[in-house]
Amino acid sequence: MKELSRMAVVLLVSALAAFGQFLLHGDLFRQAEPKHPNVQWIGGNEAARLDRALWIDARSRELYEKAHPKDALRLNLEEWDLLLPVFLDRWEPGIPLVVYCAPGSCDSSLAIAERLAEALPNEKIFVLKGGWVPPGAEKP
Amino acid sequence: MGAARGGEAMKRAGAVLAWGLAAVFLASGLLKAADVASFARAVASFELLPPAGVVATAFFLPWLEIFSGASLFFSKWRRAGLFLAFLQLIVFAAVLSWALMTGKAADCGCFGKWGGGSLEGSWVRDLFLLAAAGWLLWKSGSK
Repeated sequence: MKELSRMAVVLLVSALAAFGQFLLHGDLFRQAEPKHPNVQWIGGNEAARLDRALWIDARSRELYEKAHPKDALRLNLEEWDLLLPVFLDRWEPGIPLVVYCAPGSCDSSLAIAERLAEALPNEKIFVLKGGWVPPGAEKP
Repeated sequence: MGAARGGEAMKRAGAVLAWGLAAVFLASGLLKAADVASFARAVASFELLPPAGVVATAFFLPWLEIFSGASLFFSKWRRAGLFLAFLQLIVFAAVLSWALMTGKAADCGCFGKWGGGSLEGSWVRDLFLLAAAGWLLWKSGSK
């Protein structure tokens, strides 16, 4: 019984410390407001309903190679010059772009969307809320 | 005389093992807590949790490791800490086994952005720590 109450204390103290850290650093995971007017956040269901969207994968090559939405293209800031020509080959004016990253790490997708918006000022660019979850993984 | 000496040696070995386990848990928790975003990416790469679960795990698990590890240094709290460490190691072993079977996740994120070696290496280390925690738990219960 004593052990159980001590375990409960350790769990409680851990939860309090985690909550405190979340209050201090939770903004790491909050959605930043896009700076460019043509960039906006989009939910998964809404994104799935978009007609002929071009999906852009901002995750690592490793995650992309494991799974990605059909016809999605890779694009990231580190390999921008290498990957941009591939993107431009596939890009068609007027088709919405949806940039996504892995859950919990959406800074990169927003940064890529804003860089694309600077290069393509007339295009609508969406950033997928919460990141892309591969089929089979649990959804919120 | 020999039995007493043997008992003393076992006691010392137990204390060293408990401190070693505590050091691993403390280091692992502190390194993860120092860079939650990197740890969140590692958790997400296992593709087992929804986004909110990834964030909750990224914030909670490092502190659970820190306090479980710290409690191993105090004799009154050691058994509770051992239970928690043992349970965590079982969960880690299950997750690592799943990752090895499915090929998901390249790095366990066991030590935050400092990695933790290959999945296979992490799995072996986890089993070793699990055996150590199990032995200490059994030993503390048989007193």
